Amino acid sequence: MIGNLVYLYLLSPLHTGGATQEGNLLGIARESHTDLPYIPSSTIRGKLRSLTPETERNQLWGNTIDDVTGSSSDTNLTQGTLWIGDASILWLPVPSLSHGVVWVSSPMLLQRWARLNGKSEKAPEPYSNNFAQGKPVYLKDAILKSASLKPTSDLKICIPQSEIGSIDRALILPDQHCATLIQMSLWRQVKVKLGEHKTVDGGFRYEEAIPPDTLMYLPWGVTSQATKQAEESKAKFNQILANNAVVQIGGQESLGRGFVQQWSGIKQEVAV
Amino acid sequence: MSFDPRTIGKPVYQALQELRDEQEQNQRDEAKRKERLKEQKNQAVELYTYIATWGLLRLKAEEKAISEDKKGKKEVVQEYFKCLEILAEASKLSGADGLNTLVDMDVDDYLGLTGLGLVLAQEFSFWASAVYWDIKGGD
Repeated sequence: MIGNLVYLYLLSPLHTGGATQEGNLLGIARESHTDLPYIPSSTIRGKLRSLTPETERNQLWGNTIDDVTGSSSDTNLTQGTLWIGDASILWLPVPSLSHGVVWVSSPMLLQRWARLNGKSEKAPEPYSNNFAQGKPVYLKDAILKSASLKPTSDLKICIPQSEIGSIDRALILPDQHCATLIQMSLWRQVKVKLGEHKTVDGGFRYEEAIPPDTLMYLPWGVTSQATKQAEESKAKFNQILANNAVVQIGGQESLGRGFVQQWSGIKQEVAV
Repeated sequence: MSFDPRTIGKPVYQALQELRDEQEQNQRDEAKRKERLKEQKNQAVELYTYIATWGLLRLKAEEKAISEDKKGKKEVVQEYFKCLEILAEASKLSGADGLNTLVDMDVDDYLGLTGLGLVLAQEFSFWASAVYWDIKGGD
């Protein structure tokens, strides 16, 4: 199952609700096997469906419960001609005292991306980076000493480029440390409830989100339904992407959350 | 069998339940007892966001800095480091030497311990709701 890829560069924090709320924390959706944040395919699919011209919706995405129960002649739910996968993190920004912002990834994340991207190269080793030049790197409250860092110039092939993507300081961390750093670098907003006299009513609560400037990607393709319409459906989907360079995904649109610059990876594959 | 899904939950539940029992049994002043229990609950819930934002080192320093009249908060932070010490099979994490232990740690070990510490803090958050189910307000 190798699909085409769509890249998502987050312009603002992105919050997709998690299954549970623990303590005072409103968490986000997480992959069950890595615990890393992701965007569920259903969230993205719903958004893309709403951006599709009405006359093409049912062909590309299938019909809806309303079509079956309403006055339409449909009697069954049908599958559309396109499928959408979950969006995974590829590079995530971490604050750094020494370098402003450093984007981190890990061999596991890069290999997953390479697999879906149809590439077979092995991911670069942990601590490979394209910017440290013999100096230590400060990441959150950890310092990576220069002796442990591996300068490399060929990280560019791991960074999908676009006119917006400005990932110029990239560092590959071991899988386990990358997971911890991602956890610590999530966007968290403290919230309080104010009473009528603007005094704090109760305690703090926190909302998590994937931070802006994160680069994510999702695979997509045509379903077995497509058969003769495969090429037509692909063309229509690419047109939807081309018409909507910036989309809003997830909750809290009214607070400016979830705005994402997206671009199709097809052109990218040619460029690399 | 070495796989026990209670490995992290058990010491956390026991620690919080003991803290609560101690207040229930020894604190005669009702207002003070309620205040302490509320402090304990809020601190247990707050651990995760504190560590995720500021890191283990600062939490350890915070343990020293919390004043004696916020004893409930202090006790939870102390119990947290005791649990972390047991789970990570690390020595000298709880108690007065803990700050130096964290400072001297290799970066790999420190990041690894932080990962475990975050999971442990989530467990505290969960058990706070269960153990202090009747304590309302400020959470």
